[in-house]
Amino acid sequence: MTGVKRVYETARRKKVIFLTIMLVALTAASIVALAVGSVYIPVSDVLHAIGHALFPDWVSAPEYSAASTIVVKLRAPRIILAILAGVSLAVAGTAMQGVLRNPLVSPFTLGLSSAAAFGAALTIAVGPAIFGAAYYGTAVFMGQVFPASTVWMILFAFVFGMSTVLLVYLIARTQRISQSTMILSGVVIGYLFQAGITFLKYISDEGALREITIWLMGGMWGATWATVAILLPVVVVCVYLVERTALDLNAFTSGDEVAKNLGINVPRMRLYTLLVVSFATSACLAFTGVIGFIGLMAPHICRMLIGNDHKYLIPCSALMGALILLISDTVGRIILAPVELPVGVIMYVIGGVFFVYLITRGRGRAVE
Amino acid sequence: MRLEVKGLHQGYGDLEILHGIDLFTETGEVLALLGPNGSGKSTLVKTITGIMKPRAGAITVDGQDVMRMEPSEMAKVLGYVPQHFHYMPYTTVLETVLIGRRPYMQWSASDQDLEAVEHALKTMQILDLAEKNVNELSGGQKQRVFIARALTQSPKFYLFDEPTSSLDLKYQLETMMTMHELVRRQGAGMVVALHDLNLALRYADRAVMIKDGKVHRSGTPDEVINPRTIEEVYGVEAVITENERGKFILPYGPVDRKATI
Repeated sequence: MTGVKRVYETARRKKVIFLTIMLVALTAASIVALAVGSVYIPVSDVLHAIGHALFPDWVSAPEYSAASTIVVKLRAPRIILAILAGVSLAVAGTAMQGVLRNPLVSPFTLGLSSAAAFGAALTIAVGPAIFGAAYYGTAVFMGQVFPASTVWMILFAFVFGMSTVLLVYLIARTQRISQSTMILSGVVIGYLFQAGITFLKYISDEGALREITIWLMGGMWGATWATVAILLPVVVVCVYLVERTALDLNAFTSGDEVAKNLGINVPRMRLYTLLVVSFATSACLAFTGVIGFIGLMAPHICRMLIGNDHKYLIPCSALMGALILLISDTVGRIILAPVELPVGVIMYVIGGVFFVYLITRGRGRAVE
Repeated sequence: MRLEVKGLHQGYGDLEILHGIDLFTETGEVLALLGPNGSGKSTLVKTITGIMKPRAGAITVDGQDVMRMEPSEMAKVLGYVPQHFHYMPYTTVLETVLIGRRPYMQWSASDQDLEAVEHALKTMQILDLAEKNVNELSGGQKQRVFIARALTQSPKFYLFDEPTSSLDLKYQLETMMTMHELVRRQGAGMVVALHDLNLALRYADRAVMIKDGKVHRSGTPDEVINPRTIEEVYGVEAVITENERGKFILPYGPVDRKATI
């Protein structure tokens, strides 16, 4: 084996081992998250409840009769929603940072999160005035009854989030501005939506104000199997589509000119990637509310751990995003049980401390 | 193989930069593109390598129109080495150089891809840096990494946009020597935009002097680089001296400020 081949194979093996460890950690965290909460359910009952739900003929129901309801109906969709939101935000951050070649880009900096929040706040604050009777009906999906107000809110959050990234891209394309100006446009548009949110909060009554505030905090409160059924295919397909572009994302890191010379259609590829990840992120944020940090931090943490090859960086970020959000949500559920803390409170602390640890560890190694 | 540019026009918005450039080069030779700042050298290099679409004119390799080639096929014929390099932190030298194999790779790196990387790292004398992160390297080492990336692309013609502009004197000479050797050994062609006329005199086989987006003069370096063209194109008074190691340019100063110097 030649020197380079040996180095390549060793690095590849390390990355695969790390991804496997991350997958095991996420599985373990999911089982723990299913067990803990305001009611503790033993792990054996958790496994029986899941096994019985999947294979009722082969696996017996758990001894504790309420375990199936708590695990399968209440906790499992919430855990899957946390995983899906974590995956889509982290993959979006990785892909956005890749195509714009800027490590500070995330769904926040491109205005997506603020726009989605504005869309949600708009329906909460003035929805009854806009939609009239259509705001008070109900919609049924997979046996789950959704208030029409929630459906409008989800749709508005999604449409605003998605169209803002498109708008930022089109401004950049038609005005032929640089990537950094494009990112700045995203930040500025984000501020415009923030101003809109502040205005909507100001004119809202007490009930609407509370609802907007809770939505802005973000959380997995609204998780149901219907939510999972909508988001799972969206996230899986979008992550697959981004992963397929991994080699092109690697080429993007060398600059637009080199990427073009390597045969990549740079504007088309940039638009494609931004749209795909914005679609998944807008869809998730529409259900969970604003969740920051992961889109920025998960890719960074993974870059420090396994490097910048997008073939491995995308799945690693996906698993890291899911793990951080799941652990944060679980800790938020149990730390003051039965009261739940918003996921952001725990996430900023866990993610922030871990990130600072990695930076200081990295510095130490560089000095050596 | 012969790379030929005919009647090439290029510009940005309302501003036309290149006004009908004609030039040619062949594999096995180094062609220096010379001219002052803003003369259109970089734009010409970017247009030939397909980074910018020409407004008019033709670029052919052995008579084949490169604009009609599939992008990945064009990448195997014309390789671009930019003046300024971009990379993301935590990328290893191996990962960076492997990017040059993009036109050949579908998903996984084949043995052939890794052999090309090894060969490029050896050529640029950075094999021992393969596992290092690019951000840990010195400026000169980085430059070699990015040239190695172009080598793995294995194009028929390399187009360099002022490759020595950010290097110290030793690295400037080393880089030019390496590139010169590459042309000799690999039989590739090389077009290099240069500011340093002494480097052009020493390492180029032919030269094209560009002024205001037009070819001012082309031919051997001796024919193109002389006190008269230097004054006409750069507005600088210079003399050429010669010793046993070759010819050297000694610039005196700008013609329009002669009285004050």
